[in-house]
Amino acid sequence: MKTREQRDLFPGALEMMILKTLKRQPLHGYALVQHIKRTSNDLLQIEEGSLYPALQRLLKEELVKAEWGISSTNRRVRIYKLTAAGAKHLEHEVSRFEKMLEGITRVLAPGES
Amino acid sequence: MMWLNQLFSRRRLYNDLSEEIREHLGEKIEDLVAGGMSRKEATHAARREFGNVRLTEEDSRAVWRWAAIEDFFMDVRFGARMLRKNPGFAAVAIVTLALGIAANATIFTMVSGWMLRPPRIKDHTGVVVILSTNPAKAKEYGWDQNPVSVPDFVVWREQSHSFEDMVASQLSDFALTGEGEPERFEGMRVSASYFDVLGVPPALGRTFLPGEDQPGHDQVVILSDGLWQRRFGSNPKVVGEAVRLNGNSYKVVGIMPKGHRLGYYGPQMWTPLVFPPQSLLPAARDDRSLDVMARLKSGVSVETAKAEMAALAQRSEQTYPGTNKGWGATAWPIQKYLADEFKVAMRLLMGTAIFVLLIACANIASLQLTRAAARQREFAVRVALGASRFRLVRQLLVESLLVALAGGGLGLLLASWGVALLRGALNWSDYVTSLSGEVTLDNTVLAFTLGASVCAAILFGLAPALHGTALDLHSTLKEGGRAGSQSTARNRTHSVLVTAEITLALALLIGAGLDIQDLLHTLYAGFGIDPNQVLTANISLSSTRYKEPSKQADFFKNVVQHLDALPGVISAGATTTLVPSATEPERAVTFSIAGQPVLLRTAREQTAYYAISSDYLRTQRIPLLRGRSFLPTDNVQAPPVALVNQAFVQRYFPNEEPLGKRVRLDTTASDRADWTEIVGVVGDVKDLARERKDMSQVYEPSLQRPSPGMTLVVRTRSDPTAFAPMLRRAVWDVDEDQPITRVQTMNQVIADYRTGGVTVCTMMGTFAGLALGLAVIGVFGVMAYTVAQRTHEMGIRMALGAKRSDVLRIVLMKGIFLGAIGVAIGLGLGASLMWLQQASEGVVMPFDQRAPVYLAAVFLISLTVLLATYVPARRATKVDPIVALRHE
Repeated sequence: MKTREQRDLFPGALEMMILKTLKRQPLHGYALVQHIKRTSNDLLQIEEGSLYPALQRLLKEELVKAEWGISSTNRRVRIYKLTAAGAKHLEHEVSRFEKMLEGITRVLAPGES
Repeated sequence: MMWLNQLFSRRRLYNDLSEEIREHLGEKIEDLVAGGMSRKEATHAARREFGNVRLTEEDSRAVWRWAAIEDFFMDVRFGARMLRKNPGFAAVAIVTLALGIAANATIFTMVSGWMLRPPRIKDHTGVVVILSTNPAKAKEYGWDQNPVSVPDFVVWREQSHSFEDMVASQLSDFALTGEGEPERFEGMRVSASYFDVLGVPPALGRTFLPGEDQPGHDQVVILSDGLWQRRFGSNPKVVGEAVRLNGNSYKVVGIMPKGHRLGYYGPQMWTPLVFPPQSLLPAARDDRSLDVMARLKSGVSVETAKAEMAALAQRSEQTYPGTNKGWGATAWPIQKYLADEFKVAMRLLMGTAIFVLLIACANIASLQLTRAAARQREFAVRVALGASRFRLVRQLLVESLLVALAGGGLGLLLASWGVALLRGALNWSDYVTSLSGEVTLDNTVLAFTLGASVCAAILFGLAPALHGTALDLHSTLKEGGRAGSQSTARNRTHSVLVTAEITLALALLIGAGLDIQDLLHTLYAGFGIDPNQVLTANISLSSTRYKEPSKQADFFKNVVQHLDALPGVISAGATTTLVPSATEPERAVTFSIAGQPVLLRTAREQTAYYAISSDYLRTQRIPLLRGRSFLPTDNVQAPPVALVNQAFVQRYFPNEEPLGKRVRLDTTASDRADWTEIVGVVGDVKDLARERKDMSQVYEPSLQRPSPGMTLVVRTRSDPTAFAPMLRRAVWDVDEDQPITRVQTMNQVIADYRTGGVTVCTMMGTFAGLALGLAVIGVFGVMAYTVAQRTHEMGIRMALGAKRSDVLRIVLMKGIFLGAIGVAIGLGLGASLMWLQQASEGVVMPFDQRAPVYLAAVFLISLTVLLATYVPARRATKVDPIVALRHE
């Protein structure tokens, strides 16, 4: 069951974070979610399962690709890589997000209304 | 081709996904164990942080699917499986629905064939029917579509701008003589361009040429396919040959294609319509007998044509107030005009059929509700596994849809049988027989059936689906949980459904009952005559030999004398109009009474009018109440005399002596010079027993008022049907070229008269029976379910000392309560619907005559509801308290 916190993530946010993380290095699902949690200082409470529908969406749109491999802990894992289209999409999304964030910040900034 | 790849690689995708998620959990657990948790705790924690595994998998897979469609098919597969697992429910629901659908589809074949199918002419949307209207008369008769007079037609055709062409037609009888027996046919005289306006080409030969509707050029005839086949053996050489019609030679110029027919009329031949000079006189504007059609110019709307016709009529009204005051004109699209005839009957039958379907739906809804209750745990488990309520409702609706489609299919099958029966029953006149050919299960009917099935699915599926899925997870999942509030809500819905069924069934019973009462009333009420052992036959003198009225009088005088002289004949007579008659409309004429102000013709009172031979009253056994009857001496040389009926006296001479009073009947175009003296009062002859109960009637002797068309009436000592050959012989002894039609007994005439009514009543009765049956099943089902549910309660009651009679009373009371509500609403509904129907027909039978029908319907429904309640109630009394309580 979803909780309130997840619902507060806007649509596409999780995908954006996944793409950004994968841009640094290819990762498998578990590592990916751990990385996102850790990097966000656990501020974002992400239900681990919600990662997978997002990954499937990215796969379907061919923004990432996946290959079976062996992890450092010797597990059979599926490693996700960013595609060229994925990199482009990420750039676009980030710039859009920044614009939005700037707009929101301006409105929320004290004493300027 | 991406999507195609996806389709085939999907299984692999799904397997990858499951494995990936398994690995994810494994890794997480290992991490947590490494962090110092026990394996058990770690497993819990991992799952908690991951969320709902199945839902995640499903959501992930959903990415790859055309979600809506695939979910739908999944629901269909699952639904079909559920129905197979529960064949009893499926069978009852499907059959119940099939009955309702079959009733609707069968009736709808008539709506489709008669009202929705366009007439078979070229571009029918461009053809309008021109009608005279008269709102004042419309109130009296209940419809406002009148034919047009010859002078009006001529003026309107000349002055209107909306139409390419305007044509007139008029029904007319033709006697065909020559080879074989003389025969009489219904034919039609039409304007020369009639077939051009319709855009129907002949199958053979040609249609009429311009100018052939001018005097002297009109001796040409076009035959119908049917007549050509029957009388001329489909011989193409007939075209160009001459035939003898009404004693004159006509050249056959064409044959119309098979199945050419427009609306009510089924003429066997067409000749040009010529207007004799006297029909063009201003006074002839009062004689409205032309059927007029017109084809719109392209780009001209019906509205424009209507407005123009109204303006033209207004001009006629101003110029000729004497004949046209109060008369307007309008234009109707031809399809609407043809469909209008069936509107009332179809509304009644369709309404009835829909009631049956509604009851069927209520039954299935109630079944579904019971079934949903039994499936609560299934739903609860699915919700616990992450199914949304929307998903469950959709699943249930899909199941309903499956039932509906199966029911619709079976219903169609039943309907094809119903249609065959219906077509067989539609046989009481040539016209109706030809109509029955239009009754087919066509695409429109199929579409209607599909639509009705889907609507039914929503009707009987939605409420149970919403109810069944409003779950309280905890109490439902707990074993033996009795979700109290829910079962209350369910019981309430059950009660509403049962009440609705009783209401609808009662309304239907009342409707059918009243219709049957009307029918019986018409069939068996006294007609004011004695119809037994009377033979009748129609004679229409259309030959030019009988142009002179005195010749007509002589002919009928001769024939009646011949008949009288035959052995086995008690008496013989003739009348211009036979009442009660199936085919001939009442002839109504306006009249004036001497000593009262003479009004404009249009403002005068109307009465039914008959010219009769002197022995007609004796032959029909119409009683003479006062004065004298007609004598053979009441001929042209004697002063004119008349007889009136009792209703006439009551209406026009309530406190006066009617004998010796004088009246003047407008049987001719211009006012007569002479007044007629009333010499006797006779009994009322009921026409349409219900519709014209106190129609005033006036008789004049046919010797003084000859007519070319009369019906012979012969009262015989023995079986009248055996007398038919002798009757023909007697007529042909006078004129061997004279066709004789409609030789039938008076009883046949009366029966024919309402055979249509019998068919409609049979249908209404069938539907009412069906409705009653379904309602009984519904009530029984719900009561049985209620009893089963309350077994526990009954056990406690009985353990606490309640007697069996108390238990019986508790259950019966519920049935009686619901029944009483249903009866109360049903009575109101039935009464108001019937009132509406009758008001639209312009007649309302007094309530005291109707009361027995209402009582009988209420009694019948109460009895059946009681029975349907009593059986389950008896079962409740058999509850063994120990067993009921141990069940806990």
